[in-house]
Amino acid sequence: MVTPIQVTVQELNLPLLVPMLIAIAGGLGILVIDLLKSNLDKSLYVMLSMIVLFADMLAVAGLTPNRGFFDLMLVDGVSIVSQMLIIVASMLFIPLALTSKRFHEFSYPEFFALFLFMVAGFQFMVSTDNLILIFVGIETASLALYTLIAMHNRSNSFEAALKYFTMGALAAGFYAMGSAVVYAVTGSIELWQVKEALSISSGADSTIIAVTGGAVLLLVAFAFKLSLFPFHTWAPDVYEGASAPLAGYMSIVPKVAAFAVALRIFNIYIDLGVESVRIIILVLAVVTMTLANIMALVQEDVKRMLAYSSISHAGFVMAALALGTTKGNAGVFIYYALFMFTNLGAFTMLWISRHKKLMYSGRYDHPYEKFAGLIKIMPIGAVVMALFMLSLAGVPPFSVFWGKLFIMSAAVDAGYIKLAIIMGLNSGIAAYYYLKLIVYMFLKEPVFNVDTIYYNISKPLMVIIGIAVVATVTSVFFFDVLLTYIYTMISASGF
Amino acid sequence: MENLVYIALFAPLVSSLFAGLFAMSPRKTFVGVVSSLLLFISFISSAVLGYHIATTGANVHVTMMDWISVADLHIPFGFIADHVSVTMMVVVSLVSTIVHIYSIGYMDHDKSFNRFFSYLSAFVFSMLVLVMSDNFAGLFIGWEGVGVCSWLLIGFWYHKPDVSREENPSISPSWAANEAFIMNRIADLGMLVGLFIIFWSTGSLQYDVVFSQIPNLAPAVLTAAAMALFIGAMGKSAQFPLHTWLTDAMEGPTPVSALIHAATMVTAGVFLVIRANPIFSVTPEVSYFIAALGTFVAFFAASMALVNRDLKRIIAFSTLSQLGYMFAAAGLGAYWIALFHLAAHAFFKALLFLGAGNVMHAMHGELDIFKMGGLKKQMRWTYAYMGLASLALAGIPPLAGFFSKDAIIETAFNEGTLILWAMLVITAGMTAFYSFRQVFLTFLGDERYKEFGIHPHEMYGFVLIAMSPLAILAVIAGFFRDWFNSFIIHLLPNYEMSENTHHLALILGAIVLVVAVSGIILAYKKYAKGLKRSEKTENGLIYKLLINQYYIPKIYEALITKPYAEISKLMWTKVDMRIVDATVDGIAKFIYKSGDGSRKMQTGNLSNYLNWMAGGALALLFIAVASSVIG
Amino acid sequence: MIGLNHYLIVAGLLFAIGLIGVIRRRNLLMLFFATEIMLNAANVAFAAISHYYNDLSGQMFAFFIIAIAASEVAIGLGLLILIYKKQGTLDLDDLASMKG
Repeated sequence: MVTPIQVTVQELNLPLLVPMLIAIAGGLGILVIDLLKSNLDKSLYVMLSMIVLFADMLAVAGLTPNRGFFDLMLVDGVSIVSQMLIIVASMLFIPLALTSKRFHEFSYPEFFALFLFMVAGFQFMVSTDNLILIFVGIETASLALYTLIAMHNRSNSFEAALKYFTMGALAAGFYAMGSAVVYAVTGSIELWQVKEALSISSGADSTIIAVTGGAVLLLVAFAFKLSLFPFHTWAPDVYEGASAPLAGYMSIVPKVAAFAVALRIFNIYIDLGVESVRIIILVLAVVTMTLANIMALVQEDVKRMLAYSSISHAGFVMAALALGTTKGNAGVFIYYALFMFTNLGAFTMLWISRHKKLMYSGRYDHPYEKFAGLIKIMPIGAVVMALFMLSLAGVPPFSVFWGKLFIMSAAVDAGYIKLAIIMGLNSGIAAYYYLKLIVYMFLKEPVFNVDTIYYNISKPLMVIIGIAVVATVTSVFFFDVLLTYIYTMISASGF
Repeated sequence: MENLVYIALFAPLVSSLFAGLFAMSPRKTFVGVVSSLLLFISFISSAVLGYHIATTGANVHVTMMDWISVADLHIPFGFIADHVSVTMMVVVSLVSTIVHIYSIGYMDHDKSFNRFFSYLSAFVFSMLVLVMSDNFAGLFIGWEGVGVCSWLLIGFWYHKPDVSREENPSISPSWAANEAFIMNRIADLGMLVGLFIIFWSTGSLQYDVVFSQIPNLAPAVLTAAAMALFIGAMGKSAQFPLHTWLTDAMEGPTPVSALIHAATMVTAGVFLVIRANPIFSVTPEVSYFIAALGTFVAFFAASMALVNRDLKRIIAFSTLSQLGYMFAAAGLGAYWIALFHLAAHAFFKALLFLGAGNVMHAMHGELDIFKMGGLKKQMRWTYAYMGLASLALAGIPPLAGFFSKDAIIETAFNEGTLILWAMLVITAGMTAFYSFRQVFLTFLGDERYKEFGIHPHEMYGFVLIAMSPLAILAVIAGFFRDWFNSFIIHLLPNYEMSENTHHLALILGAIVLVVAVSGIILAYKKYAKGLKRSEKTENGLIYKLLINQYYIPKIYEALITKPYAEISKLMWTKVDMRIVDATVDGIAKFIYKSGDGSRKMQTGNLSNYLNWMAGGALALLFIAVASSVIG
Repeated sequence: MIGLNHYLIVAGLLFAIGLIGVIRRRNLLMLFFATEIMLNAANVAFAAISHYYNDLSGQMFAFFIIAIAASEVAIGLGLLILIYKKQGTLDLDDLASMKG
């Protein structure tokens, strides 16, 4: 018989829950305020969300690595680092609602409430090693995200949300089945127990098949989240359909969260020497970064190009995860910490130049032609955008370069010289399409009327871009601090 | 004390950024004033640091941050104020402060006034990084920084068009800037190789770590490192055969020439040799080569200065010549004498250049000394300053140049390298001659400028006052030689003359003095009464050779620039267009094609996406099962 | 006697049926049904394994899956209604404005 569980309040360790509770309470608070007095200005909700996120960040900063809440919660270095990344990216995202033109979704307080619920979902997802709670976190965050995408209120957004949703539902099916297989093999859904059970399991063929089968089912679910080939097909369409800031957000936060969980799950297999899992991950990573790169090359729209480039970056980082070394695992988070500012900055630049109507082409908001001769129309804007492109292309001394350098050196250290060469070649291909935009901006004559560009700019947006620029340019100076922090955090969590 | 290091270092940066804020706006005098004040603060901090080090003998070492520390690569980024660097700091910040104040007057009609101050302060910052860094990496960063600032400042009047070499030997400011930059890049490559050798063999770039490892290193490695480092020094200090850029660099505004191309940046090469003296002192062959090359350059540059007609170019040649002296001293092991001459030279050469700037300002940009003469009446103060500086340069006691240059020549005698000694003595005579030829042609004799309708006028009073510290130092700096010796030997090896030389010191000094004085007298006889040109000399072989700078710029053009252009053209039309382009195009086309092909999987149809996903999952499952069954 | 294996086979079959449905169906509503079937396949498996190990966590997982499936349906139907209003059809092949 099952014995009743007896725990004291101390063992519950409720402070571990505080960050998520702050976000959830904030979301509920926004809904309540809306009930009491409707039609308040969006800037109020932006400020409230910022305050909530700030409190959330403080709470995360105050966490000490521990377990708690019926052992469901696991707050370790990975969890704290990824929560920090999630919250910082969210704080960079929220002010983007304060555009000079009104956009549909930001006039709803529900948008902000859902956003905060989503943040809480991501936080749950990275702060546990229980497969149930991971699932709940993923779904909370994803369901909120689908809705946020659809709130952009265009037929493309609906289509994007629907595609994302349907494929997400399929991925959820794979996740549930994968968890069931893992449970069947090991008798547990706690990852640390899974690891113990797997390390003493028999080497019988059927067991190995079940072990790898379960791993592959889970891998499919996470490959979908991380947009790895061939599960990436949603990403370009969803990025195109979503608003630019949300697309930028999607290229960072869900991936950081998914990487944190993927690290917890697949590190078990890599540590135990299940080589087939490692090889599958490596092959997926290499195919993803290469294929996305060459597809980005032929895009006509900058946002869609950035979507493919984000896929390619995800593939790049996934390869670091497959190394199984501490340096590789730390590289995942370092890369995203550096990539975050540049990529969000680039998407924000698109957001600045966004019109309510499609006016450049039948389908795209940001075709390359729109940016032709930008240096003559808005010199600072062109320079800033060029800066982001150079950084994304991995040109030193900008931020992404350091991430690429670190991951490639991790690959070399782990003995994967060929992988490092492939990574280098891919960066070369990638440089081509980033430079294409620079060529358009600096060397071509303007195609469109001068005063139709930079339509949507406002002070808060400029501040966000300023932060992104500073972080991108001065990464030389803080890179080492960041590296030391993340490295110690990750290695202290045993990865 | 740590704070003073930071203040001394970062005040110029603040100044540069501040002036940069106004780069696009019209001329504002307060920008110059604020910049000068910040530079003065930097000077005061340096001076206090110098006093601190002189009295306590303790270095001030700060580690600003750990720049990169990953696994076994550890590059801390720190600054040190020790005896050598504090000397350089004081010299650099003092001369820069004066040049900043001077520029307020000199650049007063230039519309890019604010931009000029931004560049100038940025240069000072880079130079301070160069001298204060406690490791080779920081030195290299500063080294590149001063290179960039020098490029910006030589090409400051980039809008001037290119003209032929006959009209203007340096073609145009932008051409000169590019030439300087490219020549320096060639040399920097050598420097980088040197740094790699050092890092590779010692595992560090920190001065103290590297120097403590020297006894464990093979002589071949040390020789290679010393040679590579010296190639870098040759570029920055414009030593033969990389010397042509320095005279062309005179295209920049005169305060730039005074600060960068006379007093500070060009001495960076000497500084490097002094800094890395533990390496050079264990590689006697390289050191001897440095001394020989320095002597040769001293002689060679002085000979070209004898006949040149361009006021600034004469001074530039004399700078080259004096740099040769410094290298001669450093190569012979007299590092402290080299550093002493470096400092003394910075004072009187900056003074000379700023005086030339006054003349240029008065003559509305005219630089040909054959078109001047008799300016003494209008420009009494400038005459006094330039006369003083020339006396110091010529090595007349008791001015600064006498003490420092005499010590170098004495060193050459003491080492038994009599050929070097003789060449240096002759060079001293030539130095005296060309300096005074220039002074006399400019300030004495008939007023030739009247033909050209120029009305010269004296420089602003505040500018003249600002120049006075340099004049004072040009006079008195020499008296500090013994004090400086006792100060600097805390860090640099002492160098003392042998007993024999000591006995002969007076005679040796007298020889140099006689040669120098006769040079001055010769110049006085020939030029003080007016300009008498003789067809015969000017058509003579030697004159032609000298006035054309031994045809070296033309040789470079014929042997390097033109063939390079030809080869490039050939490579472009034949190799690049046909082979490389075709290959690159082919690869690009292939990638594009595959992009177009793989794009087709993105049908936009959700059903297809779901099929991809399901298919992918099944394929992965199959692979996983198959591999675990097989493996 | 019906053992664990029988349940697992049923679960596997259900999962396969769901997957085939996802691949084959062109109607959005049917697609949603198919994904629900897949989730329920996992539920069957969890319940059976939980009983086999005499461990409650599997059943807990099943309950959570049920809850999540319900909320998924809520969101999915919302989206479906939006699409239907806009497009007037639920056929997947009419829903491909973004491609390439």
